[in-house]
Amino acid sequence: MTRLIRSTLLTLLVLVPICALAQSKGRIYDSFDEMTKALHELQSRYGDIVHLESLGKTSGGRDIWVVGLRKGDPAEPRAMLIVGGVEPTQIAGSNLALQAIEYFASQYGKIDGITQLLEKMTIYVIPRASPDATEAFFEKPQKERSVNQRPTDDDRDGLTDEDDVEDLNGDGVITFMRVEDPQGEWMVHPDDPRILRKANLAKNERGAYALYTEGVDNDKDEQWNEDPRGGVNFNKNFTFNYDYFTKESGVYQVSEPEARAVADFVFAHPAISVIVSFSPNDNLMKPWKSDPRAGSSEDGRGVVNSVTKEDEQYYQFIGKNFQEMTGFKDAPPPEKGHGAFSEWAYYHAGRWSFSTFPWWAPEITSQRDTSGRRGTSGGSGPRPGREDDQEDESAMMVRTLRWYDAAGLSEVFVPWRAYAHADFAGKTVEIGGLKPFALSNPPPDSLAGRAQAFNEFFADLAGKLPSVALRNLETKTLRSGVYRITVDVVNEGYFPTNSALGHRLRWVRDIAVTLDLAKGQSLASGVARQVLDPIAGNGSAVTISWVVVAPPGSALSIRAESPASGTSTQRVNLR
Amino acid sequence: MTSRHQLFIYLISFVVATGAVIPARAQVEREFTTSALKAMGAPNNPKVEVAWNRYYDTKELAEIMGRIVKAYPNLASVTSIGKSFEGRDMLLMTISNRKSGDPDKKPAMYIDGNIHSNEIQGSEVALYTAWYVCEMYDQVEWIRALLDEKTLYILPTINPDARENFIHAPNTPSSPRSGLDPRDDDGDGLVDEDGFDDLDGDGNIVQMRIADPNGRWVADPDDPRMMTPAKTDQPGQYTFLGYEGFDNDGDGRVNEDRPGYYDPNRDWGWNWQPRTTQGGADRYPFSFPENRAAAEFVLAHPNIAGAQTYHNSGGMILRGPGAKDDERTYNRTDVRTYDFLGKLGEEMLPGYRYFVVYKDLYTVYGGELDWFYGARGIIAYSNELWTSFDYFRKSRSAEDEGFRRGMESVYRFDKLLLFEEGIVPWKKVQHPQYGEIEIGGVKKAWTRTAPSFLLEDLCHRNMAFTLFHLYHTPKVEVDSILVKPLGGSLTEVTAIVANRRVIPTHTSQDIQNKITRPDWIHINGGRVVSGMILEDRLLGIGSEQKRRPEQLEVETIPGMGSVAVRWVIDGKGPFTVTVDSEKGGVHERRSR
Repeated sequence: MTRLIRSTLLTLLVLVPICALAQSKGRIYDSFDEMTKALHELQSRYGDIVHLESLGKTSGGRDIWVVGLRKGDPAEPRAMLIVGGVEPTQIAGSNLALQAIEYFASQYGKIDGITQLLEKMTIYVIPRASPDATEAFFEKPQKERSVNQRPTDDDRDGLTDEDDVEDLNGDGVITFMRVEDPQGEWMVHPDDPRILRKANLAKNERGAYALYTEGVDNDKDEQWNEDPRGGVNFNKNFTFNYDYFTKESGVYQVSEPEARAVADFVFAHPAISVIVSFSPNDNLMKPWKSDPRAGSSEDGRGVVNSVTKEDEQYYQFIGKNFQEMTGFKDAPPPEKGHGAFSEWAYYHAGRWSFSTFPWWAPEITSQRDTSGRRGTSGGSGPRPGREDDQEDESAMMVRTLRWYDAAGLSEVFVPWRAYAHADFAGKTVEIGGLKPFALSNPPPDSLAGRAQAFNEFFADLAGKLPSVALRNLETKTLRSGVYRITVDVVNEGYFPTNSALGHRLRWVRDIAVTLDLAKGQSLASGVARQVLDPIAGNGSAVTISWVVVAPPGSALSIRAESPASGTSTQRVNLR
Repeated sequence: MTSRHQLFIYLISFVVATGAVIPARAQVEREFTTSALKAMGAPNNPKVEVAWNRYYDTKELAEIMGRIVKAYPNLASVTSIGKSFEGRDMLLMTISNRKSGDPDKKPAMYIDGNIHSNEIQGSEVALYTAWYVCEMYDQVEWIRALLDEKTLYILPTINPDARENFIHAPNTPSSPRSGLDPRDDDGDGLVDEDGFDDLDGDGNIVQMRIADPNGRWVADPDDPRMMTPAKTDQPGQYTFLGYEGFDNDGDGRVNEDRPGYYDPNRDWGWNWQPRTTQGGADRYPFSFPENRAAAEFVLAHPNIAGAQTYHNSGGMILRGPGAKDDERTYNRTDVRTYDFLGKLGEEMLPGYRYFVVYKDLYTVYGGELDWFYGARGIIAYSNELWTSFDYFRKSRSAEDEGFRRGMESVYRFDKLLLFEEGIVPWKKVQHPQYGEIEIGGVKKAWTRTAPSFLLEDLCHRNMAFTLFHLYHTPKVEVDSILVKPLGGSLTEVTAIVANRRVIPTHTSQDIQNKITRPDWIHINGGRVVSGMILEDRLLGIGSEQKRRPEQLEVETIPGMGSVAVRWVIDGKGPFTVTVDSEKGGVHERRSR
């Protein structure tokens, strides 16, 4: 009896969209309306810390929310940005970003480190970058959809959105159809008969199935569901390594209101020197390495598409730091970006940009493949139409499904069942497969521990922002009325005041040093206003001196400032 | 009334009467200009009087556009396609004969000018084009046919805000180039804080020099108004101090943070790169509302098959690619089309050279020209208007021999043809940092733009190039229909569809990336059993189109070429075959 109740509850838990009842530690997966309500509640509860703003609306009428966490005006200098939902199907990333807001808002005044942080810098959080797309999680039937609502002719046949998926078996989720076909490309995975992967013909493997997403060929062009409703993928719409004429990338770069709103926000906030996001373009588990063949990173000309030699060390360190702090391991391989947000944030917007998957299934050592190989047999995962390297994806599917099995959630896989499909008369067709969103998004209560690990990492990262200070001020009277003023401009943060690429891009400003002269004072040497090259962190300094002609007893002030590093002023009394 | 009173009243009335009449005469509306003998190449009796030997600001351009539309409502309309950064309307004219069909369904050409704010004469050329074709529609058969069959979308200025700045604010011939959205060019936290300063208030930003026996510049012996570098062993007389201005913000640099500074012609969504790679690029493609409005217009009008975007100067007819890494985009078939029109242009425009941007000029990422071809598959040119060849038309060695010779022709022309109007003679001024200096040099209104009497020539010749470009946008026709009975009620119908002009209905970039829809060839008059596109008409080799064969989809109809299609139809006819091409027009023919 109890087993029946348990399995029924679990079935309910999983068969409806995976948004579990609220647990004490985690959150549910919020619909847009639920998230909006939660953000307003946080704002009213922590009004002096949580500053909520809308960056505008998507074409579906949903706000792109940004929260500025700071004691005082969030527009003050020094800031970090966290973005969730960059890959819209990774709703777990949106969930973790919301948990970060809750953490910082609630721990201000309780944890000294957080209190100090939020009094000297702003943490901006955009919890859901592409809300129209992510809402697919809550639609019925539930379909894993990365794109927003813009009507696009994905197959470039002159018709728009003419062939979408259908829930043929009425189970409320869009899964896959496999058609028995000796000329098909797909075979049963040797490690898990539920999963399909592409046959490697050179290794004498043989396909047995053709594979499609669930639906009919609406436009009778012998392709299935090739031009669904929508749209453009937020994480394909940015300018770095943008793919032209490609499904999901948009008619041109930054064409979508969501992408434009987030890009404009970044450009309008030069205080933001670090951007960390949840996406498949991971560079925390596998930090970027400088490509020695990319000469462009050295000589300042040509296209920059590899992290510069100077910046590489910082990426390597932060990645290592992340892995040590969180203890995460065995991440899936990073996806190379095509118009991706997190790569854009460094290569085109000049910020330190870090990103990783919100979740992945850990290795389950008791069920490790005894052959010792992990997805290296050259096969591909059962995701028709993906052009990325599919070799490791089928291994991830096997691992993830085993994780769900071990958690007693095997219902996440819809068993292959026969279906009489009119498009394939005379052939055996079965519908089944891994449920939408399940590969990237576990039941939300599994995220609680991860959320805490990420929150601690965010706090640590925020504490590493550059910070400018004027130190070691010396005023030497060369003779009465003529003074030499010397001061060190010191960076007491970890990150340099600008990355090497950021310095060339000039979106993050370098430090400007100004000598404010009063009436009757003039400069004999030095300039009243200058912009410095980037200063490395942890106490590195640049010394500046001036010779001022001024009446004894007068005073002047020196100011060193940039939005990313803050402001420091010194008053100088001339005796 | 006494006679003296009467006289007084008559006197007053007379004064009042003449007083009323004389001012009224001055208020009479402009009369049309007529003259005894019509000169070739211009209307003798224009409905819209415009002087084409001067330059107009945005208000004046708008006024001329309004008059053209009012005078020719069946040929011209004007609409605002969006707002500039400062809120000005982006005014675009649609020129075509409405009575012969919907302009948006005819093969069309897009023309704009002035994307670089100081490169103003593109607007005059574009507007001259609109004016000329409307005025000459009734008088020249070739123009009439052109406007009946084709459409012109003319946006005289794509940078109205900064055009106003160039014209009304002190500038050099080369500034501001940018738009007016403020930018912090020197990274010091202040925006646009150190621009030019017009020390003598004459509206021209000229050069500054200071008398300096240790300087390396001398006055030219032939024309002392000109400065030349001192020979290696020659003592100098002056140090050249740059353009008029002083250090407004105390950072030791002069004029380093001027209005704007970004290049609107590095803002387009093809092969776009940020400013590490491409100077003047800004946030992302179409960062600027003017460019975005123009691009959205082009995206909404797939009938556009040709484009021209005017710049100055140098006398060039440019095509892409803008960067070497984009060479593969331009394939041989399309290059041949480009070469045909480019060489025609060289003929019409003496002194102009047909060039490839990255090879013959310099590398450009994100240029408007590249977007038209690369992203939209449209054959597009950019003319760099005005060449110093036109000063004396002797040879082109003046340009090739470097700065000194180039300036020599400018000063000589100024002396002989402008009577020294074009150069500000050196005069003393007080400079806040340098002390007593001299300023002098070329006025902003020429050297990159044409002097008055050469402007109309420049307008007409460049217009002619664009009109031939428009002429050669595709024109599709169902050339012939061959009907062959197959026995019973079955008939085989073969249709040949031709393109009568040089530009194909789809360039290879368009075909490769399926940018616009295929051409449709439709038949009715029976039930279509099967349809195919013939690769070899005479041998009957073709590929069947299984889906909806009554509307065959053809990927292109080549320039001066044809395609052949064939159906097997249950029916004896007669049949009507229609070709519907987005860029080539629509045509139908009935079989016998």
